[in-house]
Amino acid sequence: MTMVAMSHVRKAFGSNEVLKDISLAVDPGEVCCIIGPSGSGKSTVLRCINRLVSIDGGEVIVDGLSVTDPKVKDVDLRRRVGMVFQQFNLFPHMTALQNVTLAPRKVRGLAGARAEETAMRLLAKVGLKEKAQQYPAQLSGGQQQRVAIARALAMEPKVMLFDEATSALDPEITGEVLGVMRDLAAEHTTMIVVTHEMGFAREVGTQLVFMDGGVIVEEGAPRAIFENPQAERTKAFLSKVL
Amino acid sequence: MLLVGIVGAAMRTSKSAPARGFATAFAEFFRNTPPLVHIFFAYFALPVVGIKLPAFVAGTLALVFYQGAIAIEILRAGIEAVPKGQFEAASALGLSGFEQFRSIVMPQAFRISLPALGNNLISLLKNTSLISAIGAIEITGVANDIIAIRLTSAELYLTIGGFYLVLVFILSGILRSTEARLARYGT
Repeated sequence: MTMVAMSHVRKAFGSNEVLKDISLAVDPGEVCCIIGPSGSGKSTVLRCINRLVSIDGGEVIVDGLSVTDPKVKDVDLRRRVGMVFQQFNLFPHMTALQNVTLAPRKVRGLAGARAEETAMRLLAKVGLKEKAQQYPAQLSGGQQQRVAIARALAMEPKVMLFDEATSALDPEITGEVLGVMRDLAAEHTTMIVVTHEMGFAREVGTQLVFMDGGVIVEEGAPRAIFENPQAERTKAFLSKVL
Repeated sequence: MLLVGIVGAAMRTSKSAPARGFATAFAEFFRNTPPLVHIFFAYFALPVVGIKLPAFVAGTLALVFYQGAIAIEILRAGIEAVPKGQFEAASALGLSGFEQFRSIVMPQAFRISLPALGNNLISLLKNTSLISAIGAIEITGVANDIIAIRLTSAELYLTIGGFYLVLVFILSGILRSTEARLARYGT
């Protein structure tokens, strides 16, 4: 079954049409990378999947649940969808451990000890076990983003969304975050990754989508698109970023 | 006062239009009228509609409403200063509106608002002197009584000025240490 299926999705902010007829299918275990210039609607695509943005037309089905169905509660969708943001958005008044345990305790109703056990395992997985008691301000950008990934994973989501997860980081530390994302991909985590990291899209992605001006210009196997882009706009974009 | 502020600020920033309207009207009304008028109203006018309150209760209530209205506006500004990404991240994790407010927004808004809330608390402490106008027993009122008997105004007003100074000094000390404690995690 398809994990995330978008069909003919439209979204406008005021008179600005951000998404024009977007259709996209992501199967379980796939790593779908979305690339494209700024303002092409990439981040909005992600936000339509967990209802941070409501769509104006079309349909999005996440693990069998429709985002336009009023009977589907926000929490049902968001338990299935983890999200990592460009600006990390860690809660600054909580330690790394508290950031990771908050939602499992409040949303999944896990007992404190169980939640902490899971959180410590996840922090170890992103290589930050020893930073559990630190506040976000005491961590580097790369460390903060890794905590944010652990925080999203703690909800045991079916699909992970990454919204330019490395764009706010210094080039020399993007590697530590990309490394964690590679590990997740290797474990067959379903991921939709909006990124400017062409190397990651090419090597880790199983599916590549090039967006421009609110439409999907080209999609297919990453290697094929990078080596032999069909559309003029894809060629122009790739020649600038590669 | 803080309770009025927190509940009021929650309503003031909520999605519900009636709640927002009520909190805005409450804050604007009490913030834009003098506290002495509230005190007189609570003590002299409320009995007309059958609500008789002892002087101390009427005075306290009036001041809580006045300072609470100011606290609403202070906390509202604090809530609006919490970055949008915090709301997004909390929503994306599936936290309910109430849980977001309690665990994510309020702790940060409170810290942002703390210096202004502290000033409000200090002003509340000093404004208790106004309650003497309706004969409640507090520092200024007692001093006035003594002055009426002994006619030594200068000494007594200096003395109670000193009392307020000491009280406010202690209070600001507590506020400063709270600010320092909350500043621990930075940003």
